[in-house]
Amino acid sequence: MATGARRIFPLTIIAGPFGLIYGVTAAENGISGFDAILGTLLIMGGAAQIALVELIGEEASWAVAVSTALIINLRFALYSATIASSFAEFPKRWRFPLTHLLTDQTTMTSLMEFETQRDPFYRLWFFIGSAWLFVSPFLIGTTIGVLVGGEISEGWQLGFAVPATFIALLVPSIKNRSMLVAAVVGGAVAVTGSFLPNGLNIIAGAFSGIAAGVLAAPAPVPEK
Amino acid sequence: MSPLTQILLVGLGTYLIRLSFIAFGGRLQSIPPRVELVLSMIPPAVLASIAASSLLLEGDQLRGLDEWHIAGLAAALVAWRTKNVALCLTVGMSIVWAIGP
Repeated sequence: MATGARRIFPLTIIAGPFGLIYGVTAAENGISGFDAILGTLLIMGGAAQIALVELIGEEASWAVAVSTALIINLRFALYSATIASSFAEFPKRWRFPLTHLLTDQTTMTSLMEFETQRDPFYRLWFFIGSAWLFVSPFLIGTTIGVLVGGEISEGWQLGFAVPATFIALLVPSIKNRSMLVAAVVGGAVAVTGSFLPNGLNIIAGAFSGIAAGVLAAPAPVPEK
Repeated sequence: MSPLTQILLVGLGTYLIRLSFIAFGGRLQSIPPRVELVLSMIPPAVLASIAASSLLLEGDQLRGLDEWHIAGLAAALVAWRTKNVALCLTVGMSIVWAIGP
């Protein structure tokens, strides 16, 4: 558990500010502090939460707001797939609650560690340690953000923590040429689609990026 | 629909997404290659969409060239060369603080 906590520490540095940005954004968009904190506890995905509260603030239709947030979180399906075999070795009473804590940071840290560590007991506590160290600053950040609301100084440039975090997550997620195509097309479509209402440009970017990446990938080798 | 209801819906949907493959326990030994390919494209496509629009857009307009672009580029370079997330964020934020208004 201590190793998990130590390993994820560099990533938790950003969980605090990320929670803070979400809290402030929620407050600025007229979301109550109670709802905003519940958002962190129930969704546990800062990017989707920020997109959701911004769309609610813009009075987008609930269908667009909810589906954009869910598409942003669709990446968790991949984490679910890659970590499923490790989770299968955890006791059931841990497996289902821990599923909720499958964040970008905790999953990536754990998967790296699991490559060399096979003991299920070690893996369980590593995951719990890294999840705990991500969730606490995220929640504390949210609470502070909600409390300070719009009073935070522009000079802090906290807004830059959002793209900085996504760049930090994006770059290591690109592992081959077709994934690079997915990223470039996704980013380009999201930016050129900025005229689309309701933040639909993120949805458009996501789907075009996925499609482009799949098309660019070499044909899968038929199974023998 | 109230903000709380929307938060509850996203929370429920997100849990089901996370549960998707875990629900099978280890029984699903191999994911079909085609499904795996589509899944593997989700993080780069989605993360790039959010990164690009949060870095390059302000509302629905392109941001004017400023310290964010330089810091974003530097952060990407650091992330690529070192794979060190903390360093990438520190460099990015420092540049913004150093040359920002």
